[in-house]
Amino acid sequence: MRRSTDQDKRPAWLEIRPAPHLGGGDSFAQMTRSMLIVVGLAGLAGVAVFGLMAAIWLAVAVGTAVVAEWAYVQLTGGRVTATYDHAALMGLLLGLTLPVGWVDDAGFHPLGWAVPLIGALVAIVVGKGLMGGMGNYLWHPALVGRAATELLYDQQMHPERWVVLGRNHLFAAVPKPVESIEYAGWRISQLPADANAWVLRRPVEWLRQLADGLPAGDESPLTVLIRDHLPPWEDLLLGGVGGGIGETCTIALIVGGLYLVYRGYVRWYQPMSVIVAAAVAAAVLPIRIGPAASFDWLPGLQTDAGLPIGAIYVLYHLTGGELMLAALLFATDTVASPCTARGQVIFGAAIGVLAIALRLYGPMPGSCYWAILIMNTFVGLIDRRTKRRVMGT
Amino acid sequence: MLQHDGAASVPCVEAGQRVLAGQVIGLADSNDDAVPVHASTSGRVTGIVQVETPHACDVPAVLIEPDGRDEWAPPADAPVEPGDLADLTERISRAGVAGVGPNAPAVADVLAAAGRHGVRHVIINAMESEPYLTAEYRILADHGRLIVRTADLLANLLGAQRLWLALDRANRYLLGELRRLVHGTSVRIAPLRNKYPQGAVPLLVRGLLGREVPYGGSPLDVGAVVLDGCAVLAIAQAVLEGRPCVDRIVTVAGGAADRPGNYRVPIGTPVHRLIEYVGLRRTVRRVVIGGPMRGLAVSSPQVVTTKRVGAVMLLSEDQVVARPRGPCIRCGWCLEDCPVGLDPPSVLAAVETFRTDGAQHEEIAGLFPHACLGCGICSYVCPAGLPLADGLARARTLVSVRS
Repeated sequence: MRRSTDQDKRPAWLEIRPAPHLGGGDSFAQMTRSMLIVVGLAGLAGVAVFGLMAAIWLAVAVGTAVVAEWAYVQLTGGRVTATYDHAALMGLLLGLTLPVGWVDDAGFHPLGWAVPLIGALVAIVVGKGLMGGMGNYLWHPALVGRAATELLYDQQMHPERWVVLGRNHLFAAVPKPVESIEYAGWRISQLPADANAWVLRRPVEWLRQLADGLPAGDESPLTVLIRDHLPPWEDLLLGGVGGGIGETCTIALIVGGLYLVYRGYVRWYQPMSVIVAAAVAAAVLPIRIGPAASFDWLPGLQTDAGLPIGAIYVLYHLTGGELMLAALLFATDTVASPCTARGQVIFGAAIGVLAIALRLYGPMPGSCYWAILIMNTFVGLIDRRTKRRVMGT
Repeated sequence: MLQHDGAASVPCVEAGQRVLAGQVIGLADSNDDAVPVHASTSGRVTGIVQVETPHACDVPAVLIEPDGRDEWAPPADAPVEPGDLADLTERISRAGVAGVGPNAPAVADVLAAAGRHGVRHVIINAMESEPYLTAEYRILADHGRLIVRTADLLANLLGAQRLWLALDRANRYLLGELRRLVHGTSVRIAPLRNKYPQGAVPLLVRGLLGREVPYGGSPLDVGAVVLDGCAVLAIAQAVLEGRPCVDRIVTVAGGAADRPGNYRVPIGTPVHRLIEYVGLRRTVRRVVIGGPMRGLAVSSPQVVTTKRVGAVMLLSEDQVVARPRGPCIRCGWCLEDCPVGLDPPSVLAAVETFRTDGAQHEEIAGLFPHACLGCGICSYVCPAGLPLADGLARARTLVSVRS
């Protein structure tokens, strides 16, 4: 069966190329396209939960990243190859870590447009271009961009109170938040008629307080915290809690991560090592839950009246913040992670432990991103120490 | 006339002379690998010409116009079992059995070296060496009894304790047949999972014997000798049937081939005749001598087959995806998939920045390029389209094996 007659009109010539003559697996462009789909899914979930404003910030970040890539290539006189799809991916990933806005006593303030713009600019020019371009950067470019915005826009990047659209107002444009009525979980509570969004604290902010010591009452502080302050866990799964645009919807992230594993672009053990190590670290690292200021180890094993409250605490650690996003989409960057399976597991485990340790005892929010940046630094070292032995040597 | 490295054999017939199949038409020159060349069929010699083989050009050749009768010359050696190894190797050489692969040493030399060295294991490698190839399967299916008998004979002559027959375990029916055939012989059947490149010699030795061939060494260093199934068939025909090496089972396949399959191809057949015979269903973009992973793309279908050609691939346009080269994205797939644990991107980087000074020789040698099986998987999986296998091949030419 002939495919087309056009082929027959071409001059008959035979290609001379070195072996192998067949190509298998997917190209870099296909990988990046799949990543864009997966990251876009998390972004879509963020737009649903935080409103169309989130889409604007994502668009600013992506647009700036692509323009910055073009400008950088022009400035360097074409010595570097432009990878626009990768630049767009970095912009989108950066956008996912940004808050949609912040709330103070005066009301809701959208994020400044300069935040995604500066962030994407730094990500592409400093994080990617100046570090040697595609394939050569040491730190994840999107996280470099985020680090810059964290330093430059402290107030906007680290709001104390966040808004989340009410579940009847998904995709609505500008949040009109309410906070004074009783909140019993995003999925359960009804908003008053004149509001369309809740004002919430980020779940991990509550968890962070455990290391500072909570006032002890008759009940276990863990129980009090989870029952009275933290949202129900299904809200964490669905994304109806405070956080960055793409951080909160755990289900979208897990579905996206599974797709990447299915396509073979991510090995399952890489994000899994981050998650498992974080769970172990959360279960082991001490928090202050006694009456005095004493540290108690192994909070993950605590029970309260038969309820495994420690396990729930660990679960909130895993899903309450940026850990899922970081483990599934940031720690799996091919360039800024080790090459061998052993190296990737070591890398992931170190990120997981560091992320929880920094979250509990560190000064900065967004601990998982900092943990990844720190471990990015050691990728070369890990690669050198986890070389495979060549057969016969 | 050139079936091996070194000097070509010298034609010993003249134009106009009638030759019979199996008659010697070229005499071996002095070099070690050289073997005599026999007429593939009966016919009239129309001239001594220059032809191109896949591995050399301007090779003297005896052009025979077949008379279609395929009359055979009386065998030079009586088809009796050889008494000792020297007798065997001499008869193998006389029958014109050369190396079976592109870089393979002559079969007789392999056997002689094994005899000198002393081996405990003889491994008959009936694993297909590459995807698409099915010649080994065909040989075992058609000549199973002969292969088993010859293998038994070889093991006896070499004084080996163990005789393995490695084959693809997916061929259930063949496996059952062979189990019946080897009953009462010393052959042990080793059904292996045919995941390319399991048929590569070092992997076979490690898989069967649990020992690694030392870097830069040969299977002899672990007391084993590996013979391909097609080599055993050639030995069997030469020694037990008194029939010199005049043809070979060749897999002709690929997306452009209309009737892909295994064909008994007389040595010296031009590739375009093969193409005409199997027919084309699509435009051929690459003609590859050998398998799709390691084979050699040739520029012209005028090349003639030699004793080293076990496969011809006719690859169509949609099969040969030439991926544009991009920067390495450190995905680690090549490291993960390398069957011997090499670091192909490092080798490629070292080769591409190579300047002729000692330091870089050291650097490349430290990456052990000679452990490379040349399987091509690194280039195959690379999403950035890097010529990794090519880099490793160049590295092997730049540094010698350090003992």
